[in-house]
Formats: sequence, structure tokens, C-alpha cells
Amino acid sequence: MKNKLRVLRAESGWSQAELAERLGVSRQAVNAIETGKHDPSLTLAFSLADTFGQRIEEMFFPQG
Amino acid sequence: MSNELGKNEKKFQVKFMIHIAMFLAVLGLSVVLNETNNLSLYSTGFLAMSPVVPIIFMLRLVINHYRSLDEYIQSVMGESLLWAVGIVGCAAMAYGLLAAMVEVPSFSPAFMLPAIAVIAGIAQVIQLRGDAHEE
Repeated sequence: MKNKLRVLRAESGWSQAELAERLGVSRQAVNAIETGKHDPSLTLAFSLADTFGQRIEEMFFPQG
Repeated sequence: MSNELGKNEKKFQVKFMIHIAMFLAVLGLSVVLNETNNLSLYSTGFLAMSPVVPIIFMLRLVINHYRSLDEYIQSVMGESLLWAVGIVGCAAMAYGLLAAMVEVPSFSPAFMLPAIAVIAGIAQVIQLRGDAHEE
């Protein structure tokens, strides 16, 4: 699944560690989601969307 | 890693080291008692297996720690454990099959768990290596 987490994070001026702190996850988890290595659970996806004031479907897109 | 996760990690490491120390203490005590006393077969058997008790507590500690981790680290740990069990299992099977046909030195099953733990740790480091760079 593609996402625009890196773009949103850059716009917010947060480092991966700062975003991880806000979400209560590891920095590695943020990095893995940004690179598409890991698809977040629905709970984490909602947390991410809430953090950036977005809707889930605005942040995550099906591959292709 | 976030502060909360970092604190949990440090607490876990301290508790893990305490469990290792307990294991070594029980192991040492069981060896000394076995060497210095003429114990019955049942007592010797109990003493021989007693170091497993702190290991069982350690297993409980690791499982509780696993539950406190985030979903990504959990998935990495899970996959690492699969690799470790698969590698050790295949190696043990190959060695067992070899032993059925060729004279080979005997190998203590007591080393299975440490081997799984070490290989799982290495697999975890390899999997997390790609996430090392920070932005």
C-alpha cells in the first residue's frame, strides 16, 4: 500500500523519531511505513490520519 | 524509539539480565550440589533440570515484553523467530539423519534454545538494518 506519510511528516517538520513519539511506536515502525515495507494496522492508520488531520483514504492508497 | 518504548526497553534489559544471573546461579548451585553430595537419582534429576526454572520465568518475561512492543517490531520478531526455529530445526534434522548413517559426535539438546535465541537475534538485526537510517 502506498502512502504520503513522508510528505506529510516533512510538511509538519517532524523527524521520524518525533512522529514515533507522538504515535507511541518505534522510529523503525515509522520508517517501515514510509518506505512501504510495513502496512499499518487499522488502529495505527487511524492514529496516523488523526495526527495529520487527514482521512485514512487521503493518506493511504492501494498499490498500482 | 519513543521515550515510553525506550524506558520499557531498558526495564526489560535489566530484568533480562537478572534472569540470566538467576539462571547462572541456579546452574552453578546445581553443579556444585551434584558434585559435592551423593544424592539419590530423583534428587540428581531434579538438580540437573532445575536451571530450566529461571528460563521459564525468562520466557514469560520475553513474551510480556513482546506484547508491549509496537506492531512492526512484533512482526519483525515473529519472522526472526520463524527463521531461527526453521534453521535450527533443519540443522537438527540434517544432523539426526547424518547420525543415522555416519558416526558423528553426540550433540546436547540443551544448546537448542540458546541457538534459537542467538539466530533469532541475528535475524532481527538483519531485518532492522534497513530501518537504521533516520530522517
